[in-house]
Amino acid sequence: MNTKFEQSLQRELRHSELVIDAQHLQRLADCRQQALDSTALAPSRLRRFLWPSAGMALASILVFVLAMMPLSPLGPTVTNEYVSDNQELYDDLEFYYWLADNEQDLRG
Amino acid sequence: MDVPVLKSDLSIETTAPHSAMDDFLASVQRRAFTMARTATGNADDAMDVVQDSMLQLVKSYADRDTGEWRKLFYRILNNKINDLFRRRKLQQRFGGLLPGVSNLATNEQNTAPDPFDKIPAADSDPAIHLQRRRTIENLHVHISRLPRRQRETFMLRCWEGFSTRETAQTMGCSEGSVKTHYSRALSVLRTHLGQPGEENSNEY
Repeated sequence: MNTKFEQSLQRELRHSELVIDAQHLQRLADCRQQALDSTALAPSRLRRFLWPSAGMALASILVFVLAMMPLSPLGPTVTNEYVSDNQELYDDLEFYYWLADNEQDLRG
Repeated sequence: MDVPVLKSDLSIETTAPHSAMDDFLASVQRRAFTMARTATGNADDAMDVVQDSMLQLVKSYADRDTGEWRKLFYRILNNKINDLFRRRKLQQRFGGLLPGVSNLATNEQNTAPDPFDKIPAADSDPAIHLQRRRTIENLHVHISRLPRRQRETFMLRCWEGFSTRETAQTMGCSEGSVKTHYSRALSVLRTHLGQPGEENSNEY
């Protein structure tokens, strides 16, 4: 902005900005308000996007964990209890034979 | 330099909370609209361009430093104006195939009242007022006829008052390029307008 010519052009151009009528000014204000309101919508849009994403991620993790887990923790426990019961039976097998004989004798 | 100070338009209309972005948009809206109207020759198109620019600035760059907003806004504005010109070119090329489209861009220019009729009559002398009105009209017409890059450079450098560096940053080109475009734009305007405010002997 060195010359008088440039300065006078700028002066005329800035003066022309005053020409805008009330109707256009109102529309400009509406545009401004819409632009500002658009930021208020942003979090809900984010939330709308986040919920499905978070749900999918959680479901994927759940499937992965289930797939990687051993089939059932109850199986071996039951088997162990069953084996330990049987082991007890085998250990005292003679006693049980004696008991059965005695019961038969008693029933006569 | 006697440049009219623009009053903030905040009082006119909004109930929005006071914010830096609101202040910024209020401070640029008149100039942006006038620039867009000069470039497009159409108030409705200019309004659309300004609205899109405001929306994009708020959505994409609201978190940026406030000092960057002005440059970003004018960059967006220039891009939107260029998008509009591209759409118009397409309409001109293929608009004949679609009924009611071909004359879309020119309708308002032919029917709308001349906005320069409302230039405030600061001068009590009607002759001076009329002369000023003609000067501004001519100025806007000749700016709209400048090649795109010259027009953009002129608007940013002279009208907005950006430095050469700021203009280059806004336009995404070198400072040398800005100087070249600006010098050519000034030369064309000087040829056609002479000195604004003086009697013009170089007009058509």
